Amino acid sequence: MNWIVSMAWRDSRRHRRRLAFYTAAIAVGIAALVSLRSLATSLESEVDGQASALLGADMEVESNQPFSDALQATLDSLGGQRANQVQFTSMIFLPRGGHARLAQIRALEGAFPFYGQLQTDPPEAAETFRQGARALVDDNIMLQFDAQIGDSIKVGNALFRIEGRLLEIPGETSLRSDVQPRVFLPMSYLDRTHLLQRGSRVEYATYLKLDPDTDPEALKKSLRAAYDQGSDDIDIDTVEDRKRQIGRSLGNLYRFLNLGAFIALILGAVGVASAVHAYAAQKLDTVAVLRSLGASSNQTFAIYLLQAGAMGLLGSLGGALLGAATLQLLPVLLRDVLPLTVEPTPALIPVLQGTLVGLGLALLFAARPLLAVRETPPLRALRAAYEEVDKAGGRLFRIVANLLLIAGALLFALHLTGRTDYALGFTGGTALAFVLLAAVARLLTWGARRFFPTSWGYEWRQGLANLFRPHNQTLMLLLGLGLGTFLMSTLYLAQSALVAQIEDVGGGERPNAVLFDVQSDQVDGIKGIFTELELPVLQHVPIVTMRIHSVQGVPVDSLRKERQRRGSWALTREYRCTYRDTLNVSETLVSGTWRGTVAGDTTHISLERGIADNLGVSVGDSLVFDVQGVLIPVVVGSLREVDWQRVMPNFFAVFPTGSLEAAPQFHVLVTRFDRPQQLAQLQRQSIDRYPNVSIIDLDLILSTVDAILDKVSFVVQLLALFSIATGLLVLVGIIAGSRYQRVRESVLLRTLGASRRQVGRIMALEYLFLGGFAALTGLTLSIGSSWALAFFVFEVPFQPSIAPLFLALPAICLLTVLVGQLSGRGVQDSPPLEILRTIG
Amino acid sequence: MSSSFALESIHLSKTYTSGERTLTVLDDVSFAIEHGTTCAIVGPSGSGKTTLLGLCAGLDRASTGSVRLDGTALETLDEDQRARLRNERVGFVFQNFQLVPTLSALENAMVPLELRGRKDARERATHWLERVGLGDRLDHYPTQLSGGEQQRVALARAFINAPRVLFADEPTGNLDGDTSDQVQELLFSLNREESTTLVLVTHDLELAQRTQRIIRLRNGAVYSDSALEDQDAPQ
Repeated sequence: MNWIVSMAWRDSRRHRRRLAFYTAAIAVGIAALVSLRSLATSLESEVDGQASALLGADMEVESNQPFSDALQATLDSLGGQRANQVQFTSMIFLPRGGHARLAQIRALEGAFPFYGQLQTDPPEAAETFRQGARALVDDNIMLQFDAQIGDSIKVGNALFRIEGRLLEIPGETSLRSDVQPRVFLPMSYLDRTHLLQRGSRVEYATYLKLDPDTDPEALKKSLRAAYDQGSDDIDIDTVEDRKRQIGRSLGNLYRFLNLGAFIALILGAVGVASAVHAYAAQKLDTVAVLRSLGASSNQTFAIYLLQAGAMGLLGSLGGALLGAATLQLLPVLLRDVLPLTVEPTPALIPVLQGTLVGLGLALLFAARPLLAVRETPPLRALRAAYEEVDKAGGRLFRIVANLLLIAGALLFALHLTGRTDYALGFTGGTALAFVLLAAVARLLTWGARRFFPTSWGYEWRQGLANLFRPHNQTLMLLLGLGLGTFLMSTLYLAQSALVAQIEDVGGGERPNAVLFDVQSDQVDGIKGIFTELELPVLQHVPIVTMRIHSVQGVPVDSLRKERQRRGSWALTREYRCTYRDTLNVSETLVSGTWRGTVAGDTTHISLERGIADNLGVSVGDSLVFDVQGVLIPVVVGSLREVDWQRVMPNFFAVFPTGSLEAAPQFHVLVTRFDRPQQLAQLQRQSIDRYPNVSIIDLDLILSTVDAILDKVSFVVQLLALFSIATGLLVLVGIIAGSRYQRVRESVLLRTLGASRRQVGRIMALEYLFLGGFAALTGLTLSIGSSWALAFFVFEVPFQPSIAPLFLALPAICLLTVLVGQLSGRGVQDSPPLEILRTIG
Repeated sequence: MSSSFALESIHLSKTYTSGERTLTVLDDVSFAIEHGTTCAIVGPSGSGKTTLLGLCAGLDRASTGSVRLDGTALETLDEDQRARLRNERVGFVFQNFQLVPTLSALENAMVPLELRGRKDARERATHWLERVGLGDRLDHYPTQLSGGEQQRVALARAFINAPRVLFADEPTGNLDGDTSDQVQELLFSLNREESTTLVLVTHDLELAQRTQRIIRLRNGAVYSDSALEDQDAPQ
């Protein structure tokens, strides 16, 4: 053992500079891994904090009846803080201008929101309104009726002073078709309104800020088990639920961070494997001599594995420290760009983890090319060209090493993603790319030999012949460069698909003003105002309100009693439905057949999948809706997945055209304004002519969602850049490392009288062929892999920007040739004898 | 296990298969070399000299037949057992010296003893390098040494483990006349002093003449063996 250690040490002395690249490949990979992982952790906790603010509390318990005494007692017994809210819809009246309209009234007691803030103008109004007969009034109402702070507002029988404008409420992030402008009152003044009477449609909510050691999800389960039946019929929302509601973008951010970390490390590993491969090839003579002097194959293998391990440890540690340092710098570097504070996590644990992962991967990825050392026969000392390898014994080791490699990558991916299917997909995809690249390399070698262009000039022929001659580096470089390009390009394409989806959800062309309660005879008038103000009609949606009368022939009342289960709100709620003949962009058909128009006697409707689950119906089942006293029988024709994140009116039930046109209905019109003056003019004109119409400025409501999506999109782009930088470094290293293969040959050519220019050209052409084929294969494969990622992992539409790939192809060729030339300069510039002696 | 012969080759053959072609490099080669003697294997290029040396030294496996080195049948050993045997009983001198380029002269000479875990490797190597006249070049790397000096380091490395058999493959093939003479002198005198069995592969007849016995190979078979000729010659 001592001898192995001292041999490893002595043997490394004259190669430290070359081993340095191998160390660097691990270091950049680990640096990227550590910073990505730590940033993911920091961001996750940051977003967690923001998600609490989206609910304003740890948990919300809601019911459309007052809580039972038992439920109230249970809630009282929980530690932490509580706030209560009573919410209902009522007319409000502004005495100064004599205006009246429907609004959502919320009576509040307690310190809600516990996280985040009610955004008001002036800011202190969020607190002071709680101290008397005062109200916070939605900015939309204030604008609509030109109301001022200090004015009075009448709710039911009580008068309140307007304490401030309500700008933003934590938790009000998703827009449904039932958004109403809101008015906040202190709970203690609610009775004075005399609005809570039997039969009013009222929602009771309690917001909980739990003790830190209470698990909201567990509490939710136990509350549900105990109370979600009988009279209470509660609905519980937690921060986790809200995070799920924010939707796929955040989930996709973590998946992307993990993909980035996986790719960064696999890139580092590709760097390791190719560096060790080139290194091992140089060491085979030494190995043969040691073997002939009596060293066993295990001993010689151990010498080089030890070197790889030591360099791996050094690289990993350096990389982990570099990653931790980068992370410490990030908040400083990104202070003005990144709209959130990333708290650097304590560095020790990620550094240790990164070091261990790096060491493990370095050993695994070095072991495979080092098998050549194990398989080198001692006879090679006698005959330099003797290459017969103990194939039968070697094959077993190669299979074991390959399996270990795959298992290592799989475990690592599993550790990152926590999901077997993703881990299998990531690893399998990389392995498949590897196999395909190897196939292309073989095809290229075969093709260059089979169709060799004998009429080409000498340098071209030499460059091309280098692809298939003995000791060619076609397989190695095609695998290294191709895999590097493939991984980088996959990450880039996945990134662009994600960013495109985020921009699609939150982006520039989305609607930002919605007009509610437009009556049928007002539609043309409103559209006239739009034309005058040059506003587009982005959508025109008719809405019919209804309730469910029976499901599969069983009336709702008996169903409720019979079922006694969660989700009975779906049976009793008021449905706002629309009718149209096409699906819109936020909808995806998941089962059944979409029928846009009524055909025959049966009306087929399309239900949102979640509500169908809650109702316990599927395609083919029958329902009867009650539209203001008229019973309409329908059959469930299809189920839809609805992207509620989309800023557009979405519906649980969509009727076909020809079914509801005659029903009493109102309309929603959606538009987009670019200048605030347009909105102000629209509000003024519509109030004068159609005072019942309310206009919602979505920019106000959606600012929270926007802020988060902006961050997500920025971070996605930043991290893609990080991993791609790692990849470029590895590519440079692979090319630079490959030059040793050609040194002896170039020197011989120069000895025989070739000029530096000729030798340089031959090398350049070889690199051009290799770089071109590697890049072409890698880029092509990446289109497939990023499609798979978009479809299976991120679940976003695949809209790759292919154009940059056309730039990447010549760029990688150029990089390959350039680095090949630069690293060959030492060979070309020195006198042949000097080099012959050094490599001898 | 000891035997009266240092090396025995018994009906030794080696064939290579390349595609559907079978190439016989050695064909039924038999001889035995006594302890402490010197023997040269000569023959034209491609006659199978180096293959024979590789088989005798346990660097390769025969297709058929047997090699007994110091009484041990090599074909009964696996590769690691043969490596141990080489380390303990065999010394090598190669045509192209085969020093490890990343090790100094001293470290190169130390390798065989270090492989055995001997604590005195450094002193022994220093002693042997002084014996071959390189006492002042201990820390030089192979690229800093001339060809003759490199081969002297190789001699020190070959003798340091007191081998029973020393195999030399064209030991002077890469050296000029004067240097070649010096290395030959050193090789034979050290061999005498250490009573080592020397097996020399060469096509340099002058060098071969200095050994006690010459085995000639042609087309993979023994063409003549001076020992047998001596026996056959009328007394």
